[in-house]
Amino acid sequence: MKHHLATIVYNLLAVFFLVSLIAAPIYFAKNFAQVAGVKSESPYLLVSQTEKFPSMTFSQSQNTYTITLTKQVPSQAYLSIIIVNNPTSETKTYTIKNQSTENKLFFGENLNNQLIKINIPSQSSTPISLLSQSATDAQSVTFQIQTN
Amino acid sequence: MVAKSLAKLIDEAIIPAVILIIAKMAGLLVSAYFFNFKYEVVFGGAFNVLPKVVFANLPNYVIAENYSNLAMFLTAAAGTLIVLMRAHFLHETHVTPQTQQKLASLNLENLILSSFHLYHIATIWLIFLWLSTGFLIASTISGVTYPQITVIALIVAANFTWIFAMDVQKEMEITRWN
Repeated sequence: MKHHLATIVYNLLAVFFLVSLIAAPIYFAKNFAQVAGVKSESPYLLVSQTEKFPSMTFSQSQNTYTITLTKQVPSQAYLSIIIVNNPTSETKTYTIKNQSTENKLFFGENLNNQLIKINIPSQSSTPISLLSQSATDAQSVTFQIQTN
Repeated sequence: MVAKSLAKLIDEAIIPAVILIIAKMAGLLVSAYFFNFKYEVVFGGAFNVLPKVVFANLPNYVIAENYSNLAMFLTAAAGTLIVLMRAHFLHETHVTPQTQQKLASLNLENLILSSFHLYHIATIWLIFLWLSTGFLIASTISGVTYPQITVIALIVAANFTWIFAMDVQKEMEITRWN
């Protein structure tokens, strides 16, 4: 009886081993190659707050963002117009790429410390503010956000 | 303890499984090398142990994956073809006296295979051939492998199976006559 039971167990194990052996190359073939980014998450999320400001709009074209606004006075600051969120599982460095010198975008809300580069911990957020010092009232600010 | 056939199948499956894995790896790396694709080898792929190749973009991945799938299938087809050739020319039940004499003079008589040995090898290679074909079908449905490769694979697998079935039929007729 014990001998028969052992035979059944050994044969079942052998069948399991054989099936694993046959399936291994196909499983390997399926998982060996991958495309970068397919399973990765977005490096940042932007939450627009521009609707809280009069005459301000926010738009996006691929990785380039545009803010249009109409100022009331020549030099005007808009605090927390956009919120940047780091949805990844690690701390990341974010840099604002903005070529305009008259419309400065910076992280945080401190006009005396206009950061264009910042480390944001995982699952945390930080605001982006705008300081516009151009002569004309109607402005358009185009920028990108880079991550390291 | 373990059935003789089962032990034989396990014994015969190890080398083809390793060969197919090597063919897939080689196909991918060689195509990436010749097309000058950017890729990165990272660990934690299959079985969370083996390496995996991460391509920078989708078009590169699709081309390399197609070539590697083709390499894997051609390897399975080549293995099956060798077994079928042995079944046709070097099967102990119907090997010609001339062939047997020639092999004996070259001291290569061990190339002649018994039905037990031959059918176990053929079963394993045909299983791998059809599994590779199934993998190609799934890959084509998901939009990665070109349909042309899968159609060729289906034709090859069906024909090889038919040739093998003819050998089995011949063997059955020989057994009946005896």
